[in-house]
Amino acid sequence: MNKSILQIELRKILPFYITALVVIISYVLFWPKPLMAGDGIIATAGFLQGFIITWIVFRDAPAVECFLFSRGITRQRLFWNRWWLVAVLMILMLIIAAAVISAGLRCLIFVNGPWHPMVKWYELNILWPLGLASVAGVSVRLFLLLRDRFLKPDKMLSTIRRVWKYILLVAAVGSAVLLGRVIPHMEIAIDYLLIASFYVAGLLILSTATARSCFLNMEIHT
Amino acid sequence: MNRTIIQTEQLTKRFGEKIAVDGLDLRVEAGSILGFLGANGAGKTTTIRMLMGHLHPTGGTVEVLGSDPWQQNQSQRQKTAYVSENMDIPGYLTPAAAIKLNRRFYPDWDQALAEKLLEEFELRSVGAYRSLSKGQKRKTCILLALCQNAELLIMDEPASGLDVTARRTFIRQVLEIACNEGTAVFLSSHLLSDLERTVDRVTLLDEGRLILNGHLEDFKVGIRKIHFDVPVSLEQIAEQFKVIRYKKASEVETVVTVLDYDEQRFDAFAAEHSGTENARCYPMNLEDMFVELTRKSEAKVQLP
Repeated sequence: MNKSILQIELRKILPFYITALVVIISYVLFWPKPLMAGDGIIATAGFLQGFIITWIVFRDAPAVECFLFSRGITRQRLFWNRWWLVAVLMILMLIIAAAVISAGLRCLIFVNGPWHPMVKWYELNILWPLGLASVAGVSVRLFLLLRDRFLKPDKMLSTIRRVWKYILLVAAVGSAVLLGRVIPHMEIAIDYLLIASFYVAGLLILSTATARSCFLNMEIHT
Repeated sequence: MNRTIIQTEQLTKRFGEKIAVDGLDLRVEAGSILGFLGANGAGKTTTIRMLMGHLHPTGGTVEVLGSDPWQQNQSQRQKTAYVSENMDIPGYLTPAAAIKLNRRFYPDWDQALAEKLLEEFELRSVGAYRSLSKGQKRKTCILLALCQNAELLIMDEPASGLDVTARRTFIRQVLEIACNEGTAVFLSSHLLSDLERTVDRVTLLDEGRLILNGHLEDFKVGIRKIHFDVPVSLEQIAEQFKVIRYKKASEVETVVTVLDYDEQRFDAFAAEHSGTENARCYPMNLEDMFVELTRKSEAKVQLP
């Protein structure tokens, strides 16, 4: 990873990331009820986290965009530098959440609770909604990057022009099916989570591929 | 012949119905400083953005350092330095921090020059970029471009907002860079007096089209304004010279601007047309030439 790009991006993202980290880890630590795979609050937080981090990392002020896109780094490298930074931040959030649960910190806080002093390993299932929703948030934001650029008078790859609406359609229909089928069963059937994982992974691959093509071809009007 | 640094063929850019750049053929060789001129909206910035790979051409081709700017790899991109009027570095960086950040992009970065320019531009102890004046911001961006040791320096209105001292430093530094035979400078500016002291070649755009391209010294010799105290028809003068502008100032006075003035040919013309031998012939500086060539008037009859 290019150190200068890392420095610029971290400076942009750290205030929000630290806030998000505090909020999500506080929830994981202090939520008095058992943490479950079907936790809607953590899924929402994860989605917003993924969406906003991607938005901040991939967005530049127009005049700074002009500076960045004329540096001695290819767009390809700039895109992947940013993509990996988002990925690392997501993974770091999962690792910290897992560490908090595994270290038994919840047991210390709820010392008078009904499950003290056991670490409840099933609570690690909360990583599913957090991770999957984060990836979904990243994917949606990457799609929007594509859509935003389509609204500008850019010359885009004709293949993207042809397929992007179908990709969005698949994502939208798939999300609806997923929500309808998976969430009611999340706490009892791990199979659904695996299906959701495949689905979100596919979504991420598609959104990354299309956003990358968009990034490589977008025009800078500053 | 020097190496070609920039080459465009029939380069065209449309924004909807509007043609911003219209069939531009351009060639810039290593070792030259090209002044890229044009009135507001002439297509200069659009051309520069296509050279930088920021805009896709609608038609034609563009090659910078031997390749399409959209396809350049990292090492090729490191050979081009760019300053634009609208460019900003991240606002929290001080100029010194910006140097530290920027040098990582460029393996040939000239740190000694960066230190020297930090002093000369008085940027060493200033605050974050966002708190700087417009002039200090320009100086910072110029410094970052000059220290890259690039083979091509593209500058779009770099000196707007600079004080006289900073402009002189800038011009001196550009000239020093251009002394390197492998380097080309592509300079767009409305500060024509600065350009006149700096550039050796001039390209002039008008409404997206190239209307003048060549050595500045040739134009200084060739472009003349001639005042005749007798009526002279356009046909008469056009037999001898390429006429840029023709105007009947009064019943007995004619003012003509020609592109290819030559003393011997003028003598021949005067010998053929009585009364024209007393004509007054004025050389023109770059600013006069610019005004004469781009002024919108029906009197403009021919452009080369």
